[in-house]
Amino acid sequence: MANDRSDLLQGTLDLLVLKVLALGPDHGWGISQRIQQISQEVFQVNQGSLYPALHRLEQRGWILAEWGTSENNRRAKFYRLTEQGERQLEIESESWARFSEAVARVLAAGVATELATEGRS
Amino acid sequence: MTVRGARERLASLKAVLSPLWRRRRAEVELDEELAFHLEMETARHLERGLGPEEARRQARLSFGAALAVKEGCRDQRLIYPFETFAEDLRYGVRSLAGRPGLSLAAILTLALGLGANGSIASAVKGVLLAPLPFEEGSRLVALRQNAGNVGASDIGFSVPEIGDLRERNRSLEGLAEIHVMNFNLLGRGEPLRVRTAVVSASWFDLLGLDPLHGRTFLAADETPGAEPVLVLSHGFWQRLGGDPGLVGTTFEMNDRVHTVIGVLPSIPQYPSESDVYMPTAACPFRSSPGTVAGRGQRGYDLLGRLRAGWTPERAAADLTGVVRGLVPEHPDAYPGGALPEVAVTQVFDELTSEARPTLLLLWATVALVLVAAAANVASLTLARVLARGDEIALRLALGAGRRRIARQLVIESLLLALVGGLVGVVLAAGGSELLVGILGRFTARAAEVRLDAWVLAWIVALSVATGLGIGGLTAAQALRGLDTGARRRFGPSLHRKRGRQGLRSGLVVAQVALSVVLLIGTGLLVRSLIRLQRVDPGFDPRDVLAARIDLDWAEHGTVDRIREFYGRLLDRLRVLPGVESVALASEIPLQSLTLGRGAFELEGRPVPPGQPLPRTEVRIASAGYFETLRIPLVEGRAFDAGDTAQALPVAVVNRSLARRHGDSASLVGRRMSFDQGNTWLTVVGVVGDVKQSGLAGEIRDEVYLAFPQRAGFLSQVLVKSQVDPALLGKQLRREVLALDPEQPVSELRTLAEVRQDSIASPRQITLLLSLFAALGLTLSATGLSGLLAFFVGERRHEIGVRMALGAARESVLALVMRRGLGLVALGLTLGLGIGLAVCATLGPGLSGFLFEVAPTDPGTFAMGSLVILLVAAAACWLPARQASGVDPMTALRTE
Repeated sequence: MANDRSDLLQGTLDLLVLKVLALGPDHGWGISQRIQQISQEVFQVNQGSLYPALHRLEQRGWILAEWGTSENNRRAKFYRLTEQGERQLEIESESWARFSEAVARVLAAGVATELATEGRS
Repeated sequence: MTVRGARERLASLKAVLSPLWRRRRAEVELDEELAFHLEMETARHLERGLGPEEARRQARLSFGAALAVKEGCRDQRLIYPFETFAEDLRYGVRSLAGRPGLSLAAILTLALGLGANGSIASAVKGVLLAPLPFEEGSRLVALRQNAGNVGASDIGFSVPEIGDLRERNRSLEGLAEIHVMNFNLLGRGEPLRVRTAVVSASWFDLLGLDPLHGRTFLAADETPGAEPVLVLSHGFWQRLGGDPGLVGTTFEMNDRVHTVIGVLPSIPQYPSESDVYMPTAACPFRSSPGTVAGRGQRGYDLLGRLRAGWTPERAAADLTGVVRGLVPEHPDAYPGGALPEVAVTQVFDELTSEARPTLLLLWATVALVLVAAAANVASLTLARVLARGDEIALRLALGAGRRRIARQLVIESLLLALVGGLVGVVLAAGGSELLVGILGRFTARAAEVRLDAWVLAWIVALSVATGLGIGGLTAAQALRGLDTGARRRFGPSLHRKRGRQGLRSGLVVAQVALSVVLLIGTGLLVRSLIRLQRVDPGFDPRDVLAARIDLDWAEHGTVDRIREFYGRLLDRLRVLPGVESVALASEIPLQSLTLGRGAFELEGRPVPPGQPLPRTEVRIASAGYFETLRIPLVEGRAFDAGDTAQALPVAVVNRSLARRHGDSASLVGRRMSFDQGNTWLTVVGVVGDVKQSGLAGEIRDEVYLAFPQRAGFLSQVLVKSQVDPALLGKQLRREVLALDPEQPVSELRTLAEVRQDSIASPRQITLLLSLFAALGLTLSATGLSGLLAFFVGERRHEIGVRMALGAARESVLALVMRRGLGLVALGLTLGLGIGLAVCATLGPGLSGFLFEVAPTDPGTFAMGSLVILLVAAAACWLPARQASGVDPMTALRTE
């Protein structure tokens, strides 16, 4: 899986899937395409992670699957967000925001921390 | 929750659970979903201008291993473990059925181990763990009166003492007495000799026991002059036909009509098994005025129920205080400065303490056997799994989860163990029955041993533990090294490369070590049994038939009539064809029975005041007794026809007593007295010591009194003859009935049988342990043989190369033998170490099973080692032969 695009952290994929589905129901392929498009090809979604993630979210009751017809008139499995999923999306968005803010703060202070560490060693 | 939320929850619950009943559909939908993805991906590549072939290839590449993705999705399902369980089970059954021979061997091995454990567990449960089948049985205690300072133990209580104890104790809620006598029971065809427990009317209330039929005793049954009544024990009632209608019928006993009022359920009887129970008022001896008023007429046992909060120790202090208080009030009842004390033990311990060490020994043994069996099966399974390495590697490569594969292996082992446990239950049922017979010699609770739900649960638990153990070992071993890198190059070579037999070798070493421990334990028992069988009992049991003929006291109440009856019987028996000699005795040897113990003084050897008098066992024997049993005469003469009731009272002593009290001078001609010098007996002879209390028992001082000078309590008639004992027995019975048609004859057997019977329990235990040791040895041998066969199979190629390069067959043979015997040496060392440690630490506990053999007997350790080496050498020889028979050309071509 080594490539120049970022691997998704476990859990982050769940958040992205929920976010994409908040925009409207979609099938697995569609979800992977949308994540890649929206992230401007930064995130390469691995199918070996995406489908297990979809099944996991479905088992938790955050999304529901229904068979429908795709844009090219094929039978496809569409996922949509549930009420519970909407709540989960809010919770995860918040915690992601907190997390990235914290990471940003640490990175900003990075220079000072490195100096302090070297001083001690 | 909103309506939408509720509907969604329902839908998602359905999504979670539906694979349970629509598994195939879930799989199809999964395939369809992924196929759709591939199609879309292909379409995308086509759009980007790739050719159809290339577009499909790109799509597949970006998708990755479809099987792994599917397995990843399935793993998310919350109920997936249940869905796949049935599948794994089916796969497991197929896989086991595919190798029926191996599976059958494994199942039988485990069944033996589990069955043995089940039957011992049933005995441990029934005897040691289950509470007594009495109301709050833990509060029932047995009371014993001792006067240790004058060497008198377990002298029982007298009727007045029982009354005082009842009134003055603070520790007991209730107190009931018992003594057991033999009475003749008439009214059912041939006269029966029945063991009769004479008890307080409150006996059964104290136990908290309800009758099976009828009623038990009431206080009114105990009043002097009450109508005699009987309660039948369960066993005796069944011997009489087991008809509830027996309640209300009458029997004649002691010349009085007794009415049966009830039947007991099946219970462990304390202090011993009795046929019938009667209240004290119905016993002619117990109800005699002399007994009722005689403070010194002791011999009655007591059963008590502790008040809540009292321990046996505190109760003993309380009761000892009561009897000590009686000493100053009635000094005459405590001659020789006897200081009485009361010992209190739980009835539970009384009933089980003898069986406990035996059961614990057997328990430890079967635990070892199960471990050996499990090790053997683990080794077999491991061999099979390693042989299946390519299959497992293939499944891993195709995307099967490691957990799933591990679970598959564990399920297979569990299947083996559970089927083994099932077969084990059948074996355990048979084993329990066998154990009941053996345990009957140790405990009255043997009848409570049964294969109940508890034991079944135990067998299942052991099966599961065994299955998990074997499965865990094999799974860990199978998956070790099968890492991601290894998936690429699956194949047998993977497993062979590292000589992955380490764990199996370890198992063989452990098995050998266990076998050594079992062999040593069994060896010790066998050795002591051999010693026991070689013990000289001091008499010659050959060609002697013994029979109990207890006279009915009501009929033969006077000493004269007893003399007359026995005298006429001896005359009749003496003239039977082939009879060499006849005799009477109070007891026969090896039975731990004695007429009584008494304190005596020797004439001219006064004991200083305050010193206790010497004590001795006392027996009665007639003229001809020592000749009949070939007990050697050391000095003086044996009893003869001249020792009549009117002649000088005489005694014969054994060598032990003569040595202890003879002061290097002869005792013959000296006089002794058992009643403070009122009457004197002249010692006329000294005879050899006889093992009275069993072959392993110690020799005690003994005095023989002469029939007919003493005639009470005679019961054994002995006949020495070469005639077939069965025929002689019939003749004896006929002669007795000719004298008195109401006289029962019981315990008809030869003294050779008595001798064999006296060591029946060590013999049975030794036999049982030998079987287990043989089983352990067989398991080790097959385990070793199997491992080496695998080793040889694995190195066929290498051996072929060696032989092609000129290695001699002998050196190949040596290679295999060396490998096998190396493991054996390791196991042997380990086993000897464990054996030595166990024997050294448990020495005192084990010595109860051993006779004149030290727990660390070097000879036994050496024999055990020799046996294991010989068996192991044989077990190594077969695969070694096979190895040396390898044809180099064939071996080199096949690889």
